[in-house]
Amino acid sequence: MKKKFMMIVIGMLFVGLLTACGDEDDNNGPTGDATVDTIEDGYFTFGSSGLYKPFNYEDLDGNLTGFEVELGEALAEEMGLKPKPVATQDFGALIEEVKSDRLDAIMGSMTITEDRAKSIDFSDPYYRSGGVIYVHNDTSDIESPEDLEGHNVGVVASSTYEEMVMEYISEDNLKTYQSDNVALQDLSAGTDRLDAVVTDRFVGMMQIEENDLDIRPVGERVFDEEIGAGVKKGNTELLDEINRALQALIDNGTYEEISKKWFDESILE
Amino acid sequence: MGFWELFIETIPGYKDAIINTINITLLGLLIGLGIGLFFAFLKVSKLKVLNIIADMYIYLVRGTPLIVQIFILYFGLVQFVDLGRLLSGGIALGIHNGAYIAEIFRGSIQSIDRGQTEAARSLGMTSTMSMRRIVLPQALRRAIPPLGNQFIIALKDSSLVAFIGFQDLFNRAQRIQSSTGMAMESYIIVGIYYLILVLILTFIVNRIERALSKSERGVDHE
Repeated sequence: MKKKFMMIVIGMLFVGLLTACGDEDDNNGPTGDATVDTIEDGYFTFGSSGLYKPFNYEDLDGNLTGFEVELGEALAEEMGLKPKPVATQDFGALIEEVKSDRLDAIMGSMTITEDRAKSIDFSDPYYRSGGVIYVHNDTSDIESPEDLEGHNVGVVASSTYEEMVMEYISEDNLKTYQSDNVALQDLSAGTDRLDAVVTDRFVGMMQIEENDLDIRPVGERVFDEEIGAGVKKGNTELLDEINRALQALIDNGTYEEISKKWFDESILE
Repeated sequence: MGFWELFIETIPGYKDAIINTINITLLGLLIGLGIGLFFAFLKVSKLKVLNIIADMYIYLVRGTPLIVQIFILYFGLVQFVDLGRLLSGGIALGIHNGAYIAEIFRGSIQSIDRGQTEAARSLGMTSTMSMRRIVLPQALRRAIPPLGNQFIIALKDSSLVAFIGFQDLFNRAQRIQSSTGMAMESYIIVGIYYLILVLILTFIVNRIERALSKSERGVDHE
């Protein structure tokens, strides 16, 4: 009977290993004419949280998609590489993933800031946007960032929005989320747990449109942001190559095509 | 979109997630069984120093949250070696469950009446022999029900690897919630997937238990 038990255990191990081997087969292999060295030969591995529709998210079939994912795929092609988009689930972990060579680049709507530039290098901006305050439709006492004081404000952890709202509210009122989309959905529920959410204007507009959320933006952009691809500090070879590829996509119209598909406008300026 | 539409439309996307959850749980359990057996022997050993080592391990692992262990292996260890998501999560699950499994094995080994060992020794068996031929077969059978329990806990706890970005069931549910805004539906759907997996696991454990008790019947006179 001990034998039988061991057989079952070994059988389970075998099945597990077999299915594990079947995991990494989605791409057809590198093309071989790469213009730059990457962590995995022939692949451009770029990461985002995967929770930031319409920039990076999964569709119902489980495929990673969105503006940044398509842009990353186009960049990869321009660099002679196969694209390998990765979702980390945690926005705050992205910098760590690049520093530890698990990602070639962050393409996860990471705003270029001085602080972040100390630990990673940023490419030229590939889109420009800005933070906007969203409130529930029934809320009328929040009209500017100053009014946020004393209110519960939802933001994504480690984001520039978190940094910004902390100038106005205390730690007690800070509600951090993994996903801006979820924060907005929570706001729409209209409970006391959230009075406002600060997030990107495109993200907010799309959520209102698609999911019929009971929320509205307050005023104009609170601040402007430039978003770039982040690479490991000192990896100038890859950085130059990303900048070159980005410029090429802008020049040949591919950038505008992708941007219009998602936003009906070019979001480069 | 309603519940059933979401359920049906997300089935293809859940396929990989189910496989990934099964893989990481199996990996965790295999490592956990090895670790558990090892430390159980240390705990029942007559050498005091081995007992202490086992106690230390169990205290350390049971005293810290699984999510902390997962983050140490995935984010901490990368300075020295990059294990990747599957291995970091699987090993963390194994280390964690190993501590509980060690206690299960220890309990079941000690539950076998000492008189049996003494009888075996008086018949001329060495202590290793009596352990292997008399005590362990019975102890293993007694360990199956609590082990099955632990396997179910491990399967559910594997959802924590979603937080290092491993594409398991829970991770998938979070993404569906994020992109559809259907929180209640998304999490009920993933709950159903876990229930199905637990059902299958329970069935397998029951079968093992029955197979073992059948072949033991002639030996054990309780």
